[in-house]
Amino acid sequence: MILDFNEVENGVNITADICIIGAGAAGITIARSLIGTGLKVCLVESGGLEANAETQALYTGEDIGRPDRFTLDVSRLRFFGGTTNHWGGWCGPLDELDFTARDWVPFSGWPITRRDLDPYYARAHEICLLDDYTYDPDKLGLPDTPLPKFHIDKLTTRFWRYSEPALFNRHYQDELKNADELTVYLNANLLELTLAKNGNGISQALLSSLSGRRATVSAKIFVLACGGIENARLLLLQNKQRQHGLCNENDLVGRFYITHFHIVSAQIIANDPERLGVIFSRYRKNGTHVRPAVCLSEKAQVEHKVLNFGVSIERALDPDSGFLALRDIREELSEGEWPEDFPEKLWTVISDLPDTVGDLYDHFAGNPYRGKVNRIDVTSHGEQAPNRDSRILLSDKRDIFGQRKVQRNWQITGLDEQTIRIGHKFLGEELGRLNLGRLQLHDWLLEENAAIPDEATSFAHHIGTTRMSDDPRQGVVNADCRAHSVSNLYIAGSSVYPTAGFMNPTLTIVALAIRLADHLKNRFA
Amino acid sequence: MRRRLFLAGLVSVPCIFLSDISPAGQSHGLSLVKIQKDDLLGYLRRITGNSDNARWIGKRYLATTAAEIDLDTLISDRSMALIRNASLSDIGTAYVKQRASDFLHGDVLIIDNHMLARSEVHVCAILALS
Repeated sequence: MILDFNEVENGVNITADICIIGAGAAGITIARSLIGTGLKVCLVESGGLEANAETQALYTGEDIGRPDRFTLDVSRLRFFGGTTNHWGGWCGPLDELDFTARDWVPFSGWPITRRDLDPYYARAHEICLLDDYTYDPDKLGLPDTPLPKFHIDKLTTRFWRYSEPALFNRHYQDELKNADELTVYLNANLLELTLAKNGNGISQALLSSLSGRRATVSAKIFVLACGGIENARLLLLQNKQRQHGLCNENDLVGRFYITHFHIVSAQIIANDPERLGVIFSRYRKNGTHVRPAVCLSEKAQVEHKVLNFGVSIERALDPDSGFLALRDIREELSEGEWPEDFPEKLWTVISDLPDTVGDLYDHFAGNPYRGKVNRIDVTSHGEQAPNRDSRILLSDKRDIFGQRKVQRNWQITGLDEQTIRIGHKFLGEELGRLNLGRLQLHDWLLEENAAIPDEATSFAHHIGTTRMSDDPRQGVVNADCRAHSVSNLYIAGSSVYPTAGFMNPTLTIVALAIRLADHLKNRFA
Repeated sequence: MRRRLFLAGLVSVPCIFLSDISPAGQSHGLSLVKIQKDDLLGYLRRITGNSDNARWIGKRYLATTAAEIDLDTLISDRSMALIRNASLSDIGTAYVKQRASDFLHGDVLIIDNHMLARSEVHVCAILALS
């Protein structure tokens, strides 16, 4: 059942076995997994079913570190479905090495392995509407053009898979609406988590709507699933009963904030631009899409003591392509708008008619776009090393509830920069060795000690602020995602990752959420 | 940035780098160390198509290198070993091998932001000086 919190009786105490706070990828996955277990579940969401400016404004905050084009209120979405409402669908598992303690990466190492997570990745594939769980090039139905055979000492090819329509709002709303033992409360904001008198667990959550309707939730278990930034903020805000916030005895909450930095960093002067563009384009596999990425091999990471790193290689689009002009016209019409520069675009289609027909054939046949290519861009996707000083804090500014807003101090380390340089060195060498082309590096990559430019974005990935470790001095949660210092609080989402690898985080968020739901079922159902 | 854009147009497809070179010379059965320097230059002109791009890169290399470099220095460089010792008919193959080997071993030079094999830069420089 889905209820508007504004219609709940003021001051009522809602009871549940499990209270999940946040209805994004993690919260919705856990809630769905608990349907039919006999557990009474309450899923609390700050927003409604659609975006709302006033609620979204609760995500505003301050950036005091590196600037990020993906600002705090733009990169996150605060309504049912969470940030998956504008998710690009990029999926993939973390690599085996990402889970291990690397002696050259401070604070690295997960208390679980890739093997532990593999069964959950397979199930996460279903939830993300992807087909079989494979990243084996022999099983991915690659196009006829073979992938380059990079030297394993330097590079390897990995794959993104794309969950095209898996917006959790649209896909799982009805299922949650029809579930008997589950209630979703929309427009309900968490204000306070109250510790029980023995101080060991949470007894109650205080909720409020923007209009001032208030109620409490009493539950045996609380799950915080509000994203990599908000999870930390909410814990830091709970400083009435614990001076430094909840779960923050070891000053870890909000620290170790990492992202995947993302920047166009080079161009390729290609021997055969069209071929290279096709090799690294998205292509269709059983209704979903696959795309190769060029990554540092595990051997290279170990030998050169650098982080995980990869690049996407894509053709800059040709303004004279009739196919692309037609696509623009179609997209704008489908959004109910009259196409901008319609006569010019129509003329582009007419003057490029033969190629447009060929491109349309490829499009409907599921082939990669083979249109004209002027330039090949290399976009870096880099892992960041955990760094205590890169962190989420509380601002002195306050939101509509009088609660302190978030402050972000995003930092990049020397190891991050060293990694991107090694990555480009090997990419340039391998493109040359295979005579695919020559790499044209951006100036900052050539200057020793030059910082990664400010135009590098966080790619809206927010990671690491309530990290997982078996040691309470090193992590906020244990391997089960349970808070070390609050016995009935679990944390879901990318905030628990100790390190982020190269791959986009959503599939791992969903896999960890399924694993957490299994744990809750085994313990409490 | 302005310079990079300029270069992107100028070096759009430097044919010396981007096409595998087919040996065009007839087999003389001679090692390059035994033939005249002019023969080598003549051959390099043929295998590169006497490309303006190649000459331009060679000039850029010579302009940005601190040391005085003449033809003898370039030809005797270690990156030219395979080419020097190849028979004329095998120069093309030797060049491709040397270039791949340079990239494999990280023996690269950066010329105006482009990552190039040491051997290919030297061939360009030889052309530029000849």
